[in-house]
Amino acid sequence: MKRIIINTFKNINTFLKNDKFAMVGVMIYIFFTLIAIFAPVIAPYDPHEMHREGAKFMFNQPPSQKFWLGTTNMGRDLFSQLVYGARPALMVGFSAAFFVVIVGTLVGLIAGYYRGKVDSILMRITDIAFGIPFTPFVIVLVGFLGPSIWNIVVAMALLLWRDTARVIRAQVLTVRERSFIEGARVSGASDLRIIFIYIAPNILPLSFLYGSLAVGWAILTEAAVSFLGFGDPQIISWGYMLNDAYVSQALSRGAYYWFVPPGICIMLVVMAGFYIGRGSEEILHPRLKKY
Amino acid sequence: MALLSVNDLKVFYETKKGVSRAVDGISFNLKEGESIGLVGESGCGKSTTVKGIVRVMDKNAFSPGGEVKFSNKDILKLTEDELNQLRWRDIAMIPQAAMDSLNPVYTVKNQFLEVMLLKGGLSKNEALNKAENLFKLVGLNPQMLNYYSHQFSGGMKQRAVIALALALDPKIIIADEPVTALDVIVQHQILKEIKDLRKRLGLAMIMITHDISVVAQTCDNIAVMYAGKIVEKGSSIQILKNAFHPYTMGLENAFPNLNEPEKELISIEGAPPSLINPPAGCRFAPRCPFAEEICFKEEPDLEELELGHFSACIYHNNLDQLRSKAKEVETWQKINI
Amino acid sequence: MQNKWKVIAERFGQMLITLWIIATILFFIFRLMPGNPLVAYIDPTFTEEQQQALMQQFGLDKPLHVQYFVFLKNLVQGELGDSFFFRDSVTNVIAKVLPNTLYLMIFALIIAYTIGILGGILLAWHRGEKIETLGIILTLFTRAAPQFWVGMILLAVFSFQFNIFPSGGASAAGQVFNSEFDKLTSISFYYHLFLPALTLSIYLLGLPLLLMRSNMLDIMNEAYVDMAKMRGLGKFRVMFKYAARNAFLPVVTAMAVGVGYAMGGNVIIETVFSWPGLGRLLVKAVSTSDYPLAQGAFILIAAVMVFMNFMADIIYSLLDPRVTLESRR
Repeated sequence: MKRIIINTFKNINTFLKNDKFAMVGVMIYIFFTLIAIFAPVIAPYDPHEMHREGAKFMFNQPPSQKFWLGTTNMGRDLFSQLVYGARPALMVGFSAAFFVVIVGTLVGLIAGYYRGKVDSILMRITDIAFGIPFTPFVIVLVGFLGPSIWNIVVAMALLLWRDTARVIRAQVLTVRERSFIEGARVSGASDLRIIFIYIAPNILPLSFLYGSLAVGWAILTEAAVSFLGFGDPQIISWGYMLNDAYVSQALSRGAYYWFVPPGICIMLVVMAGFYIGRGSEEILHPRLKKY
Repeated sequence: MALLSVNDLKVFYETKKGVSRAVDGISFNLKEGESIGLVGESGCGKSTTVKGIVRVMDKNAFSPGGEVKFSNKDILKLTEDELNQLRWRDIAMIPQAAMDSLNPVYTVKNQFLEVMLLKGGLSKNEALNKAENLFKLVGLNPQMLNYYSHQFSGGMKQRAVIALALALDPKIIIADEPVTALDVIVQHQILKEIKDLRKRLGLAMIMITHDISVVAQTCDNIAVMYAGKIVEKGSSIQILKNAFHPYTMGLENAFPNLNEPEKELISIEGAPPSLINPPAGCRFAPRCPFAEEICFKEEPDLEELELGHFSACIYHNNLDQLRSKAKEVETWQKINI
Repeated sequence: MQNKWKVIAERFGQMLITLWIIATILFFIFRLMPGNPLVAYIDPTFTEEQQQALMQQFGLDKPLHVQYFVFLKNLVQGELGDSFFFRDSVTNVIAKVLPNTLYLMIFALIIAYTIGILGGILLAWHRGEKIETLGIILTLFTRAAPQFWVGMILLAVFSFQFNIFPSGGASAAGQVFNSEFDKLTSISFYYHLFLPALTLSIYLLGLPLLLMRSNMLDIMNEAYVDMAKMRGLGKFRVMFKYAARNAFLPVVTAMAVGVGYAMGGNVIIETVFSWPGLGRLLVKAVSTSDYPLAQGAFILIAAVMVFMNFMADIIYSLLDPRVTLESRR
């Protein structure tokens, strides 16, 4: 058991070492995680604070020494908002990905292992989940459940597991035919034991990769939902910043310093997930490897 | 005057680990109407050789040297357009039976017409007529032209691609393992078909196979390849009766012989060497039961030991003794790899 | 052939069941939502009796299962109830904006799939070269960038900064189209369509491009591609008729997924560009708690998605003679 866990981590480790793309992805994650953790230290101001000079509010200030990225139309510091925005982004991304990996992996494992009726029922449910349009579903659910970051996570978790489940199931179908599984069965291991101790370690790297993609989707969706105005009004996220910029006419004023940086941050974090996922191409399709 | 003459042809692959010398200086001649068999284990460079001749090579392949002359044109110096002029019209190919060599989403007819109209300059009616005749020639119902490749059985598909190879009346046909993966009865039918057609149409042929008994049935000459080099070549009779090279002897043991159907099959232990930085000396030495110390140091050249019969081995004398020893199972089990 | 029709019918049945389940899920999501569903409709000045009358009018006084069967019956007849906000039948409201969404989607899909497929062929053909790496990184950018943000930047640059394109809507102020035909033959309409369609196609581009590329790489290892080269058929014929034609099939299937993405992507892009379409309508319905409208818009979007999935299966089987529908299950 211990060896299995160690092997799993070794696999992931060598994979990261051999794949520059995946390495970059992990670095980006670490970078933004650090920013999120140390946001209060890094951000020069409270992101909600409306700055003034004497009696005059500092509305729509372009970038300066004092406000590195300028201020909003209400005189709030954009750089501080950007720094604090890393928190909800990562929180949403990782918690949604967590549910997606757990649910998707479980469904895939059970469907692939038991096959037959269990499999067809679970796969029909997966098919239906694939029939539900993702963004509209999240919007409707969050719109009616009320704007909160956890509602967004729940809405996404309800659907996003579908991709993982399909891929994991396919993988389980091949793993379960291997001889060591047969060996475990002959030696009288229970189904649960076979599933979690023998099969699961073999498909964990795959779950991990799909999780990294889910982080990206979740962050994108959170941004979109916030942009549409269904986000948590108490929390400043990158999507909220973009919504704020959009409704405050930042576009027509050409305030690029306002709406360009949050988009770049979103893009970087999402890209990190893709980079790790792209590495998966080389694991999943080894014949595509360069000579 | 040779129709095709290959001189010191080299085809190397650029790989991550280094340059792989897949075809390392190969020479042979092919006269009009003549046939030659390239024999060797898989990975010895047979297929790469013919790909190098028609210049349909993988992206990472290149030719650092050599010359391929086809009716006085040096193929290696032709442009892509000039090559396309020559391909199929002068040199056509019968691919491996196991491979899907027909486009699965078009009918066989479509692919016949394509090559005949585009490259043969025939009218649509002429082409259709010719395609039907070719199908009859290889023993297929012309109705089957309308089929997709997946609708053919293995043997029928192979007949169809033979017919396709004849579409432009080429001068040379390259047959790359044309019967591998077919069952034995069909193998014999197809080989007989190829032999008859060749005689009737006066075609020259290069046959590639790992099975020396296949070339014995179909080819005038044989070139035995090992690890990117020719180790023995000569007429089929010379080689089958009087093999000079231990590898050839080993190959003869490994396949059923029509004259001695009861013979026990002996395989050659071990695997060919890496073609990236191949070892010094004779490339077969590590697997050769007769290898001496010198074999691991110096690479023997191809030498003409009797008229038209070449071998690259230090043994020039007492070959009868060698041959009888090579027929014994124990001899081949002695090698330590 | 007989068999094929049977399988198509079976598929169609499965599609209807999927739709029915989605509609059911939706029905319960809306009914079990906290709060009075009529909150958007009810004025604080309404009396208790007026509220009761309204509940009756919308059938909300009946038990849940009765409501459910009424809902299903109406749905089958294409009757989606009345919008609270527009005080009009949902079907009418949706019918007015649906064409705009379809135009936006179709134009974006055409652009994205044309460029994506050609780009995928190009990248596969240049495997291992610098252009491939660059292409992949660029494509990943388009996939990672939030599409509404791309829209915002395009708006800021091309509309506000350089004043080349209009900043929103589907027609110039005061311009009215008498018919869909009028609209489609008006230059002004395409002028308004350009930026949203471009944004949506940037968003959609990645899928066909990456898929086409990896399929091409697989297909280029097939013997028939080498054999076509041996036949001296010329680079472009080999590239398109032999490699691309075969690599293209899974991309067709992916087109259904593309439509799904497009429908989802529409919701946000239409909002950014104030494009009067189904997606923007959905957002508006949700933000005004107009649940019959939200429900109708959502069901329609889901129906398009499920139907496209069904179509993809059928088209795939028509394009590839090897595939019988049974074997794909």
